[in-house]
Amino acid sequence: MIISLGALMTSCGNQLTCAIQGDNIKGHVNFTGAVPAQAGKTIVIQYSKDNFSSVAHASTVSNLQGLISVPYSFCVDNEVDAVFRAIQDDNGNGSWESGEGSGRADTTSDGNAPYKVYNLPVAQPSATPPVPWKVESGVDIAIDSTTAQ
Amino acid sequence: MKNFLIPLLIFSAIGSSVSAHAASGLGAHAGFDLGIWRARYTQEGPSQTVSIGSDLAPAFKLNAGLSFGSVFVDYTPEIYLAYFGDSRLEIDGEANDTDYFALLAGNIGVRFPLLHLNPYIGGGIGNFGFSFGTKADPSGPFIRAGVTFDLISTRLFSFGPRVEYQRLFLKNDEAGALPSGYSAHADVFFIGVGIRAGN
Repeated sequence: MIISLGALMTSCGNQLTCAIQGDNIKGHVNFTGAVPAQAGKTIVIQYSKDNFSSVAHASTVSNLQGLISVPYSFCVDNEVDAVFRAIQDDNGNGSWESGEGSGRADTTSDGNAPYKVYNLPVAQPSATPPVPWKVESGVDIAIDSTTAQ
Repeated sequence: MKNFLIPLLIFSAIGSSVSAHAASGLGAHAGFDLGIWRARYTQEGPSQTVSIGSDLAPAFKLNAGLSFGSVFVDYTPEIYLAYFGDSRLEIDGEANDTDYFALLAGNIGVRFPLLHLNPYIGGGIGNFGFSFGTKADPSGPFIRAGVTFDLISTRLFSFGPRVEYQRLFLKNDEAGALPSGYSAHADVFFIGVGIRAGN
């Protein structure tokens, strides 16, 4: 039983902890004016652990009203170099094409800069001193480009 | 609503010479209002603004407080229900269900017995569950102003119409503080009738 639970927790990464504690990455997808927010379009938020050589996971937020600052949250693994980007998925195919608004969590709002890396420690409540469940807020993504992801 | 509401306003009623009624001294009152509300939610950012209006929906407001002559202070929990069949106007983006948001706040106002008018201002801070499209759970302070009219008024009872305007300054949502350069607010309009007992 203990082995099974251990295997489950390993295979799930942080999903179980996130389900209990809440997501550990929080931010907003912001439209800067370079790309207009469009009502009814889906925003795809992607997370990578290898600087987007591959996408570890993607989630979507439906921007029904065309809001210009849309909150999102993500559950990411601990002790990995997590980076984030987003697209306004005009054609609804889940991936970026030239002409669709895109942006990175790079602390800028005027084009693509190197990704800001978020590396969250493993929670160790029984350590001395205890390491709490770390939640990174303000991981904002500016949709500021249509020519490159 | 993740967090319940934290009323922050502590009112000081100062002065008792507002009208000839002031000499009546300390009193207490309680009541409720029923009515309808409509809201307009606005987000502003760099060179962009989006504004969304809601449908009319029911509202229920309680009040209880004290009077000091013609000056009164209220503690006013409120519940606003919203029925939106159109997902574009839906608070949480899911069509055909029931949403609500609630406020706890306070008012301070003045009674003008001869005119049967009771104008007031108020405010507070709270968690609104009020997002029009994403489960954003925004929160922040708000201010409001309104007036009640005593259509029927006795020494211990009054009944009449009420109107109120609120401006909610939404500073945070489920993802934290709104980013620098972006702001959100909601304008809420309420009209209804209410009963108040006490003096």
